[in-house]
Amino acid sequence: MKIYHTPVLLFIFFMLPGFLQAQSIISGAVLDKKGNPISFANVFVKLQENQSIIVFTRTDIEGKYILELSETGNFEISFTAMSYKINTASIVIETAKKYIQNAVLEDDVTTLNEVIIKTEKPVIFKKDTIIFDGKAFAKGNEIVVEDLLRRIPGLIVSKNGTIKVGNKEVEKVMVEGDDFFEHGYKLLTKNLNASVIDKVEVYKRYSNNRLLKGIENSDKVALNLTLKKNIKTQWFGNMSLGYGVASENRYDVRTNLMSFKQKVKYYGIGNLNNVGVDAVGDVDYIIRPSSTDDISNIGDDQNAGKLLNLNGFKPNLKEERTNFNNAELVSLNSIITLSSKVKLKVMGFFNSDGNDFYRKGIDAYNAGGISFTNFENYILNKKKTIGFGKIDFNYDISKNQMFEYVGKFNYEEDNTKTNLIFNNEHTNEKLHENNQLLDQKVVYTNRFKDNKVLIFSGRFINEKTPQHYYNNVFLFQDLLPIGITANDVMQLSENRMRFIGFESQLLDKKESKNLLEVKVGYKNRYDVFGSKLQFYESDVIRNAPEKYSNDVKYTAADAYFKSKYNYVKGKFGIGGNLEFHQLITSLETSNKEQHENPFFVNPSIFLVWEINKKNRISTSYSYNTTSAKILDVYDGFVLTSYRSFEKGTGEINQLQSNSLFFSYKLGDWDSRFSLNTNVNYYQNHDFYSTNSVVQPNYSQIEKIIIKDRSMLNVNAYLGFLFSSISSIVKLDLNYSSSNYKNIVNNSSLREVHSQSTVLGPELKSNFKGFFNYNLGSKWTMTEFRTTVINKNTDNISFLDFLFVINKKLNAQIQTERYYFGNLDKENAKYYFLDLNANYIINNNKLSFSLSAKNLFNTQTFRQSFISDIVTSKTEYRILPRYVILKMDYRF
Amino acid sequence: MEKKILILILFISTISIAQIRDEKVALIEYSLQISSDGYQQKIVTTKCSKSKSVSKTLANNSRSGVKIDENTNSIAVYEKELDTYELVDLTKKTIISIDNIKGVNYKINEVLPVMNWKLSKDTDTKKIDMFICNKAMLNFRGRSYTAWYTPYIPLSFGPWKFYGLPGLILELYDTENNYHWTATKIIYPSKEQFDLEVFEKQNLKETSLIGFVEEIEKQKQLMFARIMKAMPRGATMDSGNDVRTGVELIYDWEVNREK
Repeated sequence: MKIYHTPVLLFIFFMLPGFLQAQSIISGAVLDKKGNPISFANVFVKLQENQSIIVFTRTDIEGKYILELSETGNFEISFTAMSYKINTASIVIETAKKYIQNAVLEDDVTTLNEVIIKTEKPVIFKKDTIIFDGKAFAKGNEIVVEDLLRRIPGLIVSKNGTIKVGNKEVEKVMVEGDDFFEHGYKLLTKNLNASVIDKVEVYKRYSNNRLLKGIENSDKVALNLTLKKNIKTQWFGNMSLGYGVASENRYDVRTNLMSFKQKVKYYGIGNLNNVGVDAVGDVDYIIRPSSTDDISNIGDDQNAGKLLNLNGFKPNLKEERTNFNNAELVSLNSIITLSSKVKLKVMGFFNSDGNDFYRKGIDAYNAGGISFTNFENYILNKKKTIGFGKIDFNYDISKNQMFEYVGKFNYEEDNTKTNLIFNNEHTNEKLHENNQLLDQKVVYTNRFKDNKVLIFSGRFINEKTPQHYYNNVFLFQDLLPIGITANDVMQLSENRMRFIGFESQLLDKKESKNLLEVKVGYKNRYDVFGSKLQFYESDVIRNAPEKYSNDVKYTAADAYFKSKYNYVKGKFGIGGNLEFHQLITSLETSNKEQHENPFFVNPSIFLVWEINKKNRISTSYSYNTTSAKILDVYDGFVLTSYRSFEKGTGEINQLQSNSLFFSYKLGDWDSRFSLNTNVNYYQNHDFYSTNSVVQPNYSQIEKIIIKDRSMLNVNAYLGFLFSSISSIVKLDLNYSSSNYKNIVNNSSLREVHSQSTVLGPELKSNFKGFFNYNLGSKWTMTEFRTTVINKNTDNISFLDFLFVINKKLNAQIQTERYYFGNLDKENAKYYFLDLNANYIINNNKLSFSLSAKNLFNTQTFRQSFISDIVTSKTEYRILPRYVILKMDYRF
Repeated sequence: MEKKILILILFISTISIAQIRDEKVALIEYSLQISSDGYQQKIVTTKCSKSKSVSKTLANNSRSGVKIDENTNSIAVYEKELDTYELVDLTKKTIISIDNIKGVNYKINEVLPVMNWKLSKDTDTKKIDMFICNKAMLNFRGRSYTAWYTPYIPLSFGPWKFYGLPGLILELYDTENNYHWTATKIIYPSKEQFDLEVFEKQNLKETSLIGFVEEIEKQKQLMFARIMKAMPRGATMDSGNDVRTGVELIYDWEVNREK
């Protein structure tokens, strides 16, 4: 009852004085000594006992003022104006009376001679770090981290969870300095409970390697969340469950499970689907973090080769459309903080997938005076298992020194079976292959001066890729002596490689902000490549001719010095690379040994000129010598598909090329009209071409070195905005041509000219309402010219509709039309219609989506390819129509 | 009637001339911390006398330009900033600002808006350097501010358009802490005079506040259209991007329209 009365009483208490006109009024005039009025003088009334001002006003132009006051008691009334002394008088105010208080202000000569104010600011901005106390900004109703981040001034979290600082998307969101997710940080911010967060730190000019901060040119921004102490282990995550409705059994299940504590962090992933998605894509960013800058990247490009590939051509379609699969993936990752200086990351995943792939092809060969047509019908079934593990050990030796060890292990086993009809002949292929990789890296970083960093890295890689191939049809009768027959084919092949590399790198940031980079290193790659082809006549081995096997040992060592310097001044930028290489190579094949120790220099230079805001020119030139790789130098023929052989040069060699690049940009990307042109010109003094023997049963392709090839590529991109800003027109233009020579069926060197032109107009709407469309088309015209001309024109068009009905409901419809000029009219056109609708029930908690693929239920898809010797028409089988209803749930 | 008006105008103009003659100018330097649009620091200089203040916010072009980040696949565009000015004139009861859209300077006229400061009833005061400051609160154009002003410097101004307290504002911030001004230096009297010439430059486009805001909204739409132009198929625009991040979030006429 008491509570009920209080507001009423208060109400009366406040209203009464006003109602009774109980306000006192003080008025008066403020004058200077000479009796002139002082305008805009401050008049304020304070309680006598403290500083708090109750009412205030200013004098008008005539120096007059009026003050209304509802309180009573003893007050001080003060009159202040710049250049005058303060005038304070005591005044006793009684209820509802009028007072006159005039004041005369004395002149004052007080000056404030450069008062420098030092204050403690409530928000402390360190040089590149800004720290927010999570508690101070939380309002109590935050559920996940994303909600908390919305409260932090300066962080912008968009509807879909993208986090930006200003206009810049954050690089990653770490927890206690550790990161699993990189750009997939939404997984964290949309799932981690907000209540465990202590502080939010914003890092500007962020570098992945802390010792490179300020040396590397970075404008990256990253967030770090620190956790409250003594939080209990909590498992949280999300689950996306999708199941096919109104179609054959389709499912798509993903789950993420995490637990974060200061010392130990876990992250698990599961994926189960048969909708054509390669599940390894889900862990790609953990295995190969994109943020590994090009520092200490020695050996990154080294891997063992494989020559035999049964998958062949993939159609120019989204991979999910033709990939009949059955994928399962589990991954478990953890970061363990062993001490304040030592951290251990352990990551691993296991993936198994079954893929089916269907293809029918008609290949019409016309080259070297011979023309024939092959028919094939391919059913491929592949079982794949991958086991992967990675250990990352970090030791922060001191403020300026750091040590890192990364060890990776990969084991993949693939079993492929095909059921093939080749020109009415049934064949069964089997391919058993695996990949074994052990990759170790150590990096030691020392920032010995403020602007100088020295990095030592070492890398040791061991990899092998054995392949075991079997085919029950024999197409190579002319490889055997007359009178001897065979009916099965078997090939064993393996590339084993060992890579050792050491590098030291110096980064020196000059005072002018220009960066000098110097690298000195030694790389050694040792390859063993062996292959053996055997034919069988009901268990009796028939050896294939000598030149169809390989026993190659190839060593390529490279001692190098590389330097790089970029110099920017005003509107000009210039940069150069200079590389010196001393190679020591030796090649040992079954019939000869060869050694070469060439020395070469690779220079390159680039120039940028920003003429003004609208015009920008950049150009670069480089001269390159590249050294042969194992797959260039092997000397025996290797079966690369059921009907083709390939062979390398059998010799050590280096190739020289020039490349010239020129780019012109007119208009900023946001101008009404913009044009972006690129011209690339390559000139190869010598290059790998082919000497092929093409015949109906099989073909043999041999690598040969030919002089002079040129390639020209012109790219133009045009964008135009209609004066009504609701429509946008874009135009893509691309022209490329290349001239080279090759040999087909013992011809003399024949010239090949190829050119392709791409024309792609696009129209987009920019409506403010709930509906938008996007319409586009792309024509690709290809032409190969030898003694004969092969031509082809393809077209892909699309029309998309986007509906955003409200914050909870949106839908997207995508339609595609494919047209292939080389196909007969009935089979030349293909249509696809996909639909996707999302409905959010509870933000970040529960949502539903409906995804329908291939609604026209297109069963097959034909495509045509052309090259200088063949015109192919290939038919693929497409995943039939399906509709999946998906539920996303956070737990 | 005509006579009366004429006399009045004459009267006012003579007074203001008289004032300019012996008007001493104080120079205050503020540091401005902006969090709403990336984290940025700017310097604001305010010159004021008893009836007039001119604030100048210095452009910070440390990040202007187009930055394309291939890692995040994002493009950040920062227009080259220009200095902005606000002239608060209590005599004429106007505010004239100079602000820019895409490098073009506008001279924006508005009637002196009412700033309805609520003085803090509690007795909490804060000593900023040697000045005892009182607290006052204000809701203005979509943000709520807390100001710390000192009655010991009887200038009723602050940075930007702020005016109307019985003392100079030494610290001012909005409740979200997106804008935070702190005085760093005070000189009185300053040798420098009001630089009113910037308001009289020939290349200024003269407009009203409402006209300027409409122009900004128009340019924003155009900008979004241009961004869409550069986007690949299937890309959608997050409409969350078109929220205002400037000091002023909502204007009087928009409040009325919403009602």
